[in-house]
Amino acid sequence: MRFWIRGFEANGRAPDMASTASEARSISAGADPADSAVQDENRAAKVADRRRRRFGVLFWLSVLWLAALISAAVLADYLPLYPRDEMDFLELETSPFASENHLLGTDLQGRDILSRMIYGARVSLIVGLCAPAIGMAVGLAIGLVAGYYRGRIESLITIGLDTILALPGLVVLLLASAIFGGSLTVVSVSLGLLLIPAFARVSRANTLNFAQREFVVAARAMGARDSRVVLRELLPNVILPVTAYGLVVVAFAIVIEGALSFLGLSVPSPTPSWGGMIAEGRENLAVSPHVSFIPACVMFLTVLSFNLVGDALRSRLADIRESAV
Amino acid sequence: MRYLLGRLRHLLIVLLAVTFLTFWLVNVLPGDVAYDIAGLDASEEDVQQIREELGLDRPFLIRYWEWFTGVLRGDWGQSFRTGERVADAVLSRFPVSLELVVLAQLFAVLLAVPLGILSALRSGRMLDRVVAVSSFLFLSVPAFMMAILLIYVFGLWLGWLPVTGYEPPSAGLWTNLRTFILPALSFALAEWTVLMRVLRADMIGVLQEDYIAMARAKGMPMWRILWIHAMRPSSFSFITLLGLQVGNLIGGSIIIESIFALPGVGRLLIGAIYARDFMVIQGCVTFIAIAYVVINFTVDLCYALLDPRVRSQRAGA
Repeated sequence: MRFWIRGFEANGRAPDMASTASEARSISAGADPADSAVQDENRAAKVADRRRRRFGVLFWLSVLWLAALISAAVLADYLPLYPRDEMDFLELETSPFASENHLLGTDLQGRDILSRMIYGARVSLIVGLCAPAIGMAVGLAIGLVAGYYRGRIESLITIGLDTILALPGLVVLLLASAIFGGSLTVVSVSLGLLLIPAFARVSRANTLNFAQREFVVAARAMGARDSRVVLRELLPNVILPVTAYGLVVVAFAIVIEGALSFLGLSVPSPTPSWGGMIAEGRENLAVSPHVSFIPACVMFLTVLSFNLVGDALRSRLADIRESAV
Repeated sequence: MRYLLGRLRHLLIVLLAVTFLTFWLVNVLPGDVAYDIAGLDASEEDVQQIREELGLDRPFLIRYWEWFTGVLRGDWGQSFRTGERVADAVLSRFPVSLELVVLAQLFAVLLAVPLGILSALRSGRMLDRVVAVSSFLFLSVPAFMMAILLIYVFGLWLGWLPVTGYEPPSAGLWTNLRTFILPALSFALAEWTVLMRVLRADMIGVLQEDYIAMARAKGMPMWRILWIHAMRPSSFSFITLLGLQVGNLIGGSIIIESIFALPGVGRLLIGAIYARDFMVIQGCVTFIAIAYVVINFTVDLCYALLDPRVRSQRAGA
């Protein structure tokens, strides 16, 4: 449906897409069979480009780390781990690899750091995945509506989004968990609501980009209803870049959850969480820094991995879109 | 001018909506302050009486209106706990937060500008890649984690800087600044990466312009080209981001201020949240929102100053 129209691209574009004369010329040149030298050059450049853009080692290492972490968190109950709350008074604050029983050592109360770390991953991952999912679902809808209908609806939505952006996010989260009590649901939902503007902006920008394209114009010309245009023509195009962006937001959500549990306002205390573990280790940072630093490292690696994967996917998608034009 | 007026109207609406939302959030939700003040064994009548004394029994909209007109007259209400005037409480803590945020952004800019320019000049080369990778690493370290790391390295291990505590400027400039270095660095080491990336991207575009080639051909020294010719057109997104970040930092200072025991607005706010001192919460949030709006408007003004086209072009938009 949307491919045969591609020939119109050069002159059928909306004026604000800013297709310059030179661009139009290069497109028609590429279509000219006589100009095979240019084509060869293009093909060589494309192959080189593809090789350069192939996902690197770092990308796959990140994927590996995330896969390992997620499966450990899911299967935590079946892994041969120490009970996460059991205090081993014979081995308080043992260093990593120093004890046979506790691979990564124990914390200030003699609890096994490895097992607390894996159970803590559950909290971080649940909030890290649920909050962006909520934000994305709502933000995508709002962004599509704003980008498709424009006009008054769009300016109303913009004011609403700016209001949420002007709220000090962390404060709202602190308030919410102080008032409702910290729990996974409260943290996920309130963080998800605060993430709406970010997703809405990205979706709106992408919608604007596609709403002027020929396949949308064609669909409307054929008498498709607005709902059909939005859901069948725009949504499939907008959802990919927004999802790639979502992976970066996952990293952000994990950081925020860490900050909240660091302040003791996420899940309540006996439940292990990375931020909480880091905060507990602060008390005796000078003597046993590993109590803080192990969960900090794990959190760093996780955030870094989500950032790397999200970034790689995002630039890959941008390439695909460029080459599709 | 019309562009700026339009922005101002927009920002004022935002401000109004923020205060209303916070007031709603703080007041309509369960668990009101009267129970806390009355204590555990208080009867329902006691609680009711405290509510009446505080005026909490009246409708929400009326209270919002009273609070709002009060703010316009400069009366931000009083703390339910200490009776301290909220405006005084916030304003007395504000200099600490301001110093923290300004120092943090100063460090961030000092890192971002040279590295951004260098990696734009050498884009694709070794230096650019090293900077890009390290910026990715720093981006993934949240401020509170960086704070712990800095405390361990510079406070406990090397013992160069104080770990916590605050010295007023009256104790001497250096004594005062010393206490701010680690907190400000905790912010700056995460913030510079974003600034650097934006500056680099814009700078790469600008350096390809004809007038830069012209300046080079004239034999103008490189530093002069970069500072005089390339910096100004490359700095639009940079400045927007700088403003947005200041807004975030004011909110984020809650964590850093409580880690380093700095008596700023963030500390006041988190104390008020734990104590459910709603007037203080409301005051702090409103203050932060005003700061956000003022900063945003200043950024818009900077835009118009930096780019003459904005003054006329965006007037219609």
